[in-house]
Amino acid sequence: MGAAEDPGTSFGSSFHPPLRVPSRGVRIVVQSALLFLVGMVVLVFHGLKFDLTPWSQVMMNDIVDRIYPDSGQQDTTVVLFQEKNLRELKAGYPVSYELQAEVFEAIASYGPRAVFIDFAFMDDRGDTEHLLKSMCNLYSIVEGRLFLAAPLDDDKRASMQKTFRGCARLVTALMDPDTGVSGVLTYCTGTWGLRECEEGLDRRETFLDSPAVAMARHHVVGIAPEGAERMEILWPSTTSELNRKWMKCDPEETGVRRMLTRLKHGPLEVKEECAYTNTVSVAHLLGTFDPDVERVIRGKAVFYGASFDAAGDRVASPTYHDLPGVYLHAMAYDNLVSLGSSYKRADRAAWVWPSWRSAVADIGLLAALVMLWVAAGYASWSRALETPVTPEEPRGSPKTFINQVAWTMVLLAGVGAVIGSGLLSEAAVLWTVVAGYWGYKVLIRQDGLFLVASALVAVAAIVSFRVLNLGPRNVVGYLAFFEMARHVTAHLDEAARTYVRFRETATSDRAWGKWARWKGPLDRAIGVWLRGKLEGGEHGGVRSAHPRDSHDLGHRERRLHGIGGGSGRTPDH
Amino acid sequence: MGSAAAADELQITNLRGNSVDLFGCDDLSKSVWRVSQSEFRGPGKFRGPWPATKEPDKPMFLRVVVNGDRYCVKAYLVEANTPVPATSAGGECQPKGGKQSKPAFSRGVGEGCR
Repeated sequence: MGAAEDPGTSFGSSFHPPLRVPSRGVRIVVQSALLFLVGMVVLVFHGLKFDLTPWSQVMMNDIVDRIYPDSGQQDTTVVLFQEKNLRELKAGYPVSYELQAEVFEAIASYGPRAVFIDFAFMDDRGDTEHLLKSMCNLYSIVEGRLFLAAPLDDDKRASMQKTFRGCARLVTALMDPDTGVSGVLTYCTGTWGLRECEEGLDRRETFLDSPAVAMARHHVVGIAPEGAERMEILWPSTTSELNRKWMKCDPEETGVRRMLTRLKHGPLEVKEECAYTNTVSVAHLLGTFDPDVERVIRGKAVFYGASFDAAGDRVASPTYHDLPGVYLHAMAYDNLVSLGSSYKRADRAAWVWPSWRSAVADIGLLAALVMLWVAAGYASWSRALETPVTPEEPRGSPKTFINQVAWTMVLLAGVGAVIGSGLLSEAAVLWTVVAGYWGYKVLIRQDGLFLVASALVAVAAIVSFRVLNLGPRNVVGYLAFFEMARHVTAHLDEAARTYVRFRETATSDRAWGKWARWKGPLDRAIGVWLRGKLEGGEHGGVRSAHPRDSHDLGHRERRLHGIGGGSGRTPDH
Repeated sequence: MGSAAAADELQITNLRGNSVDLFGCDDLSKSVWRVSQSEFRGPGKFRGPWPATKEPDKPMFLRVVVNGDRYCVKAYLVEANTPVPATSAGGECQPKGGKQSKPAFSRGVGEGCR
């Protein structure tokens, strides 16, 4: 019996009652809707990309390590008041204004270009005079580029502004929370008043720059005058040579060992102990002249902050164990110096204008992949897509099968050898695994549709890199979704074909039991998952019209072929 | 001065600003003398270099001997023959092997002390 297609495919003679599956159009719409919905859930809202984010971050960190310029690092220094400095200097907590004044004088003695002080001097402790004098001196040394963290309380801010007017400028040190499991830190470039970091639409109050932006204004060209877009901070995972000299840093491990640790404890568990930003402690600063201190302070941007247990001002970056909050500002400044106005923009929520571009990219790419796969089951062009990479010889032959197995083993051995060499960083190990899978799919399995999907995602990532941030997370996520969608629909298709074969071969109502009277609704509910152009009847079930699928391979075999065909397996009965 | 032992001693070799205040070590709030660069380099009683030791109870200061008298000076305002961080432990810190061969950063704060 020949195919009876739209509207409502019906197969009569060998079915009782006649099999009625939804028309091709209905099947395409329902299957596309299901895949799109699944894709939205796992990719756009939550799920797959979320799970991939920390691994993507590991890869991104590796890329950042290789391409991130060190111009920012050479211009940025953190002066850190450590907890142990309190003991070493026999000082109490909170640090006296007298001691802070000495620190300011010591910083001034090394001639910095700009200074941010991550302390809020809100209380009148009676020893403000020396503090103010030393601050004013420092203000003149840095030619007005002295910035002081503003308190979040309006009254205290007004009081500080009055006290330090002419000797320091207030900036907002408001910190964004990290974003999810990736630990990626975003940075507010300024606020109107002291409200939470906003996109700068509410302009009723005075605008306050964030410390990094304030410090960079005189030094970096192209920073928006007010309310620049929030930054996603890039953190190289290398440690400053200066810091390695005096801090207790972890010994360097091989990439494989670090990768094993990540696999065991989580992708973000492997972190550096010592910061990227050049750092001197207050003990170094207040000691006798030191050429290393001079080298990192004279003419540089200095961020002075604390690392006190009681203060709780910490940030957890993707690449370092928790660091004192001042490093966030220093690293944001480093990004501005290194990347200029092209600093990486933070991802914005899909509902915030103008991030519709991001949503369009996400949904558009998802829709393209769904259409690619669903349409491939019905359209003749899917055969054409396969042609360039599909050998003329039938794939079912022993020779082809053994070829695939042999090359797979060679590929696995090669990837294993490269990873086992110990020469790769952990991110490079990840890249090798991804590349190995891609090579397996495209070169060995000769999966033309996977190649097309890869190209589609890669082009989208490249074209939209600057605007939409389609990083490794998205590339891998979308391809993983594409693979997953193929497996899900292939399983559904196989189940539907099994049902159709039962419908053809098991004609007695007794065999169907209580489901005998539900055959009509079942035809539609199950038949809607049939893929491809249909031919059917005469114990052949419902077959794809694709010539290569004219012999029944079943899902397991189809998976070996890459592109899912439309045929099903004869059920055992 | 000039002997091997003298070379190992901590010495103030330069003043960082135009002048430096010398304090009495018993009362650090009062400056006893203000020594200028020219006096430190000149032939007078403030001529440098000054032998120095760490002041364990006052980590920000160094105790110096100037013309036989003892004074205290803020560490960050002077330059020594080897950088000395401001730590209370520094007063007990003796260089390994009789000579501190590494600068302060190589040594780290408090590191290298017996």
